[in-house]
Amino acid sequence: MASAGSGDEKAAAAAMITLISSDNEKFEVTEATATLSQTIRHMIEDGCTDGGVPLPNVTSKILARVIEYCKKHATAAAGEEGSSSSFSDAAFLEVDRAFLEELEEFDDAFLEVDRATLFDLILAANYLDIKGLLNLTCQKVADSVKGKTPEQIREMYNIVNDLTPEEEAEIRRETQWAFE
Amino acid sequence: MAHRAGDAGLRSPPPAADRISALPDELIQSILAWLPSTAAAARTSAVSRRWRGVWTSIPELSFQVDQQRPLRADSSTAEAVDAALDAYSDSATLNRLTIDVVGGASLSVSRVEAWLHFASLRLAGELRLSLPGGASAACRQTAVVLMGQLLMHQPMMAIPAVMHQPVMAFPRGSRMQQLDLPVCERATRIDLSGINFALRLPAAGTFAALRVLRINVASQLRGDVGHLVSMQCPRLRELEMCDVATAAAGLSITSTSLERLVLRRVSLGMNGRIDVDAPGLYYLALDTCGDRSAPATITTAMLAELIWNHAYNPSHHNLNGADRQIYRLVATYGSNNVALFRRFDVVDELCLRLSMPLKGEQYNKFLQDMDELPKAKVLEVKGLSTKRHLEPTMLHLLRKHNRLTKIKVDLFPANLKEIECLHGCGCVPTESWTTDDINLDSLEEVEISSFTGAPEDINLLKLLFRYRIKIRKLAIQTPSGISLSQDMQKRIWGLARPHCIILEFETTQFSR
Repeated sequence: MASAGSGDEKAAAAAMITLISSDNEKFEVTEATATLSQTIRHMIEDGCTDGGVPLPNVTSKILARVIEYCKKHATAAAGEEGSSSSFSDAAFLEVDRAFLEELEEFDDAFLEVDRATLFDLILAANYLDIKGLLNLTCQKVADSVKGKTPEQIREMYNIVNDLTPEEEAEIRRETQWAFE
Repeated sequence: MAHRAGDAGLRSPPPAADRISALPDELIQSILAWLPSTAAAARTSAVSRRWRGVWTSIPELSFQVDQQRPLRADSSTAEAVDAALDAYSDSATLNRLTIDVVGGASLSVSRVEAWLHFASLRLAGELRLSLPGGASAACRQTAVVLMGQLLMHQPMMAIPAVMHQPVMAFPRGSRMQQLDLPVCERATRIDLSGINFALRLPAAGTFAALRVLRINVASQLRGDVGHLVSMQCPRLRELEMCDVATAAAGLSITSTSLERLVLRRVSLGMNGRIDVDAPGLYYLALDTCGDRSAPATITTAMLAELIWNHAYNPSHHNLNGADRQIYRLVATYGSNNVALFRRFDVVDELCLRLSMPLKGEQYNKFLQDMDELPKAKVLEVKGLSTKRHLEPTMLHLLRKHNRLTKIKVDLFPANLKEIECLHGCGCVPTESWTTDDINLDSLEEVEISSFTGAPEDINLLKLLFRYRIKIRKLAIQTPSGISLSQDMQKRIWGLARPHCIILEFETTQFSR
């Protein structure tokens, strides 16, 4: 299937790429969707996507979610390009605003996942180099840590406290400035 | 669904795995960078051995410095900033350093210099330093007025430091301490604001990576900005200086990289002049600088947006190389700069701040000169100074522009004194207005702000609707504290219904 796309001009919007998850499931996506990942973009530029792109670090369950994110945001990127040429047109600006709101709602809903999935998404976003998704997921974790004491953070994320009382006192001294 | 016994057996994760500690350092740091402050990130050191010191390589450091106790959440003392910078890893790459000093913190110049020194060595990205000089908006407003009045008549050096005191709040009676800006070779952006020391620019050394330099409120700028931009910042794309007092006689910039230049309320020395030669410059704002008449020569072939709140006399002011067609022009329209408008044939967005003369004779000239305005698609008008002048002025403007797609009118009275001539002074010429030569066929949108519902405001609507215009949208905004009654809204909708599809009041929307 990938050969159908590779014969076309690179710029063709409909060029399709096949992504292969660690559990060997195949996903067909447009080039515009796939290239939100810098990792895949570089592979396409190097011309090594024939026969599909194997992603041994990403399961089909997580890849499906990542593609869902990329599809939505690829449309957004295309929308931005389209509107920049007519930035003085108020009608376009209104459409943009509505679309940005929609995108924000999408992101919020997208993050409604369990902790394990959230960390899998962080690892996938990092491996695939998708900046938007990495920021989104890291920020979600940061929001959950915000305002919490070390003890509360341990509890929330099942972290074992392996510090001896002496070490703990030492760390307190080192970072005294941050606890004021 | 995808769980396979083999995988689970190999990794054998406990039922509640510690996934977060298993992340590589750089991902934990990416998470910590989203915390509201570096102090919050540093506190995670006490979570476990895995977390100890991970924060010392986060790519972004951010501090809100406050000396008033008790500290607010996410605020740090100046001593804490010192300690954090001291603990920061030598091998980490710092992409952003933000130090925001709030409240009445009195910092020694040596401490701030130490922070800047750290930035000059370590930063490969963006620096934002905000000191308490002119911290609040209200404060800044006072500064503007003060500086405006003073600088109109005196060169900067002659102003004793104490004159600034209500605004800048530095130690009474002492000479202003000097803060040296070190050369930051790898900084891509430098944002300095509220600098309540005399800021001295380095005379040598290169800011090789710098793209954006912004100085917002600096009570004294020492050194030569022109030299810095021309010779020491080979990649600078954007220079913005607002509320900056310089001692230099003028500003002379030659740059092949500069694209955006904003000079707002920048004082100049006696006989100061502004010379800019930047072939790639597309955005220029020259707003209330010096005495607003200092000679200025701008040379650029790329000009697209021009904000010009300055005199324009072709023997002293020049825009060399600019097209006769630009995208946007924002300027005061008055008797001393008609030549500016002759400089352009077509401006897509024309924003006029009218500076209306009071006497009838001058007013006639004012109206006639409007025929010199460049043609526009979007017209924005501010400062219609008397309600009675509104109609003739608008008619003159509309007659000239027959390709308009959008009109924005701000009815906020520009000058209270001028409003007095509302009471029958007869200064409006008794020309008879013909409306035949006004063509508004391409009009799509009208926006009116500072609308109070006064009879004169309604007359503006009636004037527009005198033409059989068909527009998509009419938006009406009232000044803060005033809202239009239901009856008034219905009345306006009644007037507008034959002419527009959507009528929008700030909050309510009517549509056909």
